[in-house]
Amino acid sequence: MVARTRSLAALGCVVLVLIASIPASAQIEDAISAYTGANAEGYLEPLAQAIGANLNNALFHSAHVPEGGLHVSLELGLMAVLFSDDDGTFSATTEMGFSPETTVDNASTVVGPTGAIIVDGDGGTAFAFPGGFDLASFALAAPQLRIGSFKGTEALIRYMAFDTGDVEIGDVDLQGYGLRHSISQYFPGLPVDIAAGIMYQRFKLGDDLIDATAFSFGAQASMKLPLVFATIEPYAGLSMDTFKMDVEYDDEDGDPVSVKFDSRSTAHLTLGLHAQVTVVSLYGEYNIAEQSGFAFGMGFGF
Amino acid sequence: MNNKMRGIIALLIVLGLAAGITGCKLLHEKVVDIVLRNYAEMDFETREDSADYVGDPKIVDVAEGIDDALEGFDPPLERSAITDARLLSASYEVTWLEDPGHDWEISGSVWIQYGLAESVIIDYSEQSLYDALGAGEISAKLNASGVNLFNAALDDFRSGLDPVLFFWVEGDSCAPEPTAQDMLEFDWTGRFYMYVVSPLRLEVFDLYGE
Repeated sequence: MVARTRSLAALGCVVLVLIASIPASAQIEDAISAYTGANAEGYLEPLAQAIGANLNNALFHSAHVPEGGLHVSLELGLMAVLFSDDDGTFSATTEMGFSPETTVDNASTVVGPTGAIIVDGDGGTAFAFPGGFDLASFALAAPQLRIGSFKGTEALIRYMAFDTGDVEIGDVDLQGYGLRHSISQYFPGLPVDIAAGIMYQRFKLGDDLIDATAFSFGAQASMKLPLVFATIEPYAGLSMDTFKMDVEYDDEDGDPVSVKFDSRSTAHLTLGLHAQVTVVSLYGEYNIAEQSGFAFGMGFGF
Repeated sequence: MNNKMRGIIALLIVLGLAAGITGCKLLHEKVVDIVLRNYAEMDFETREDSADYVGDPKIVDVAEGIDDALEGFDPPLERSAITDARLLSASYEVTWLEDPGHDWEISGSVWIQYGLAESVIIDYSEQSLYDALGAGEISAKLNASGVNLFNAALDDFRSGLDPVLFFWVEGDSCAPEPTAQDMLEFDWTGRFYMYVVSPLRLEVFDLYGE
């Protein structure tokens, strides 16, 4: 019991460290409080894409869904996307009656260079665009529980909730629910496993700073290859992902600002490799989508 | 060594490789330029029977609003850390007008005094009070020498002083000309928007950060 408690505490620490280390919601809010409307949307755009991509990664690492029996697996996925130089800047326009109205192409996004961009105006006035957090990548870690199987169907639950109290990262809340069904069970003799599934997730950070929902449906294929002491399993998946995100914060006058990112859909190809030794599994994958990324994961199950 | 043991070692090797690929240092210190915008606001009451008048001065403590805003950051930002502070824009808004049944078109200027120096900071010309009433904030045309005084006060604020600015209105012309029987009576609010840039030091998780 003590060992189990320690394991859960360690898992919690890993997740908390990963989440705590991203720019805190209060700090993101500080950075964007200078912006309203279109500038706020442009500033946060790479973060929206990254969250959407990460949520829809590491959802599976095999297409094998047993037809029956109790199968439980506790997994921890680390999903990350890499940003390109283009993600670091956006076209921003001066606000607040600044004259002359000026548009710059090199204002930092939330992942862009840390330095402010200063534009000179009429009569000695100036306008400053805030810096970004200079991120090359953005990662999310999510624990998930996989439970099966009933007639070749399994459920996947992602859940994470932190009330961070005095730690100013903002409360974190991730909930995800999915189902997968084995297709290959209807085609005995197929050399590969095939499954199809759906997944719905909702991610919230801070006091309504970020409220994102992701939905994915698709099919996967994998093939188990016994290798001495382990099972190696290459896998691939093709899905259609949908993502939308709302951001709410207070501007510098304390007035609420709401930024709604349009719902977007993207095709998503996953290529990965899964290794399993007894109850321990390890997987890594690369995801090709509107925002490509990779994921690593570890699982314990039977 | 049994197969199970070999398997665990293999997994550890793969984990080590993954850690190596992602880099040893995951936490990176960043110094991000945060932009804080603030404004100084002053209310003016005009009760005049002449087009040529000088209004009562309004006093603005530059430090007051900015210090409060700096303390609102998390963690609070230090005044001494500010790297840049400038005037951004100005606006005015007519909030009340005693309607005599005809419009007024007013021209004049808003003056600023800092220390012993004074200068015009806003010029307004043939401003219709009918048009201005209820039109919200109207962008003001700024005068460079007045802006320089405002910016000098911001520089002194950065240096640790508590600069105080004086603003007043000087009417120049008005159509029609106000009289004791047809007084020019309206209230308006002036706002001077400014920004400060301050570095915010924090650590972020970045798999591939430098």
